[in-house]
Amino acid sequence: MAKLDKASGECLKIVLKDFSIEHTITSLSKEIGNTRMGIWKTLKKLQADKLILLIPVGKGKTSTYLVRLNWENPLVEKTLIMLLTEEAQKYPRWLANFSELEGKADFLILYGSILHSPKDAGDIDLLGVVSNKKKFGEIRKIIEKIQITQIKKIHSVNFLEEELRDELISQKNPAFIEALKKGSILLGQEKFIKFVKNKLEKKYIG
Amino acid sequence: MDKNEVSDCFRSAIKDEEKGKKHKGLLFGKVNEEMAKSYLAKAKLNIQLCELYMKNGFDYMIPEAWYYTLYYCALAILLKFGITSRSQRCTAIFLRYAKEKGLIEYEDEFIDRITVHRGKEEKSDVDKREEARYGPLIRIEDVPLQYNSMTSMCKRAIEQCEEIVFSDKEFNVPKELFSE
Repeated sequence: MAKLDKASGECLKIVLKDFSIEHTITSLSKEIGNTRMGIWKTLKKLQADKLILLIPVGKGKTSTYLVRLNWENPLVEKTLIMLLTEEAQKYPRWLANFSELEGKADFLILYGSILHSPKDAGDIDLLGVVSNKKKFGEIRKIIEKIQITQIKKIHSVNFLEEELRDELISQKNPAFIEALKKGSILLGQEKFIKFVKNKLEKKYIG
Repeated sequence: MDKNEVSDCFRSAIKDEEKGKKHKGLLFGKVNEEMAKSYLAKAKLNIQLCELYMKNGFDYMIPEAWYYTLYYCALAILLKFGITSRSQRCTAIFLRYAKEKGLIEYEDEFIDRITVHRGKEEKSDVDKREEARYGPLIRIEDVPLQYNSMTSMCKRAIEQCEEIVFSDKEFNVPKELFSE
């Protein structure tokens, strides 16, 4: 698997995590802060590597392109796992603090101001997904134990996959949409990707 | 903070080591990230112990657990500089020096509380720990009264220690401490 440049990695992560809109060159350019020409070059390279699909809307040379992940290529999931794991490594403090939740939550997202300004953050926001309801109690106990050592309030919200899907798709809960888009997937990157692929992406297909 | 006092902590440790004696100072070596994290984990365990002691009425154990929460945080920070300490006095001396030099962001209160005072009239948490540990009392009146504020203070120390321990920044011991 070839090492991706920063812009390519950012494009892939945004298309994965920000499922609330269909991404185009313009939207990615706005999110990443690169020129449209720069993004276009990045996307053409990702297309050549079969990591994304560029789907034209309308006819003609100037048509808009929708950017979608090419799930048919098994390297897409592997590349995304690597990108999300790399991103989580930027937060060793929180990885260490919440390592006990490994194996309890299918995936765990750390989001909010704790990521970019930990000193000023009022609390520690966590969003977790579990495979069965029994895990809610186990997670709560672990969080309570961690809370004893932390001055900031840990605000942990946990869902079953279907419940989170409902919050995101039916309720369009802006806080959780933002959590997915801007948060860091601390644990369970592989399961998070499968969740997006199987539970969220399908709403665009067909 | 007089830099000579800090330098003496390093000098005396080197002298003792050369004589084959257990040193009572500070030794400068390699930065040990893993050991720093282990001390931080031990600090957290001590604050968790406080809750256990409080729930079960073991009041006299709590001042010691508060003290060790702060002291293990201090040892964790020293290890980010590559320093190991075998002296409570020198641990606090170095932290105060590092704070005054702007090398770390760590509240004075956390350093004051682990400072060893030689004079009888000056007291810190070092003395409270000793009194609680070696004194005859099983119940200490002040402990329940101070419990919330002391626990919050310890958590703040852990937070600031975590910031240092998990920081990418290099923490270098100033060369002035090793110059004659």
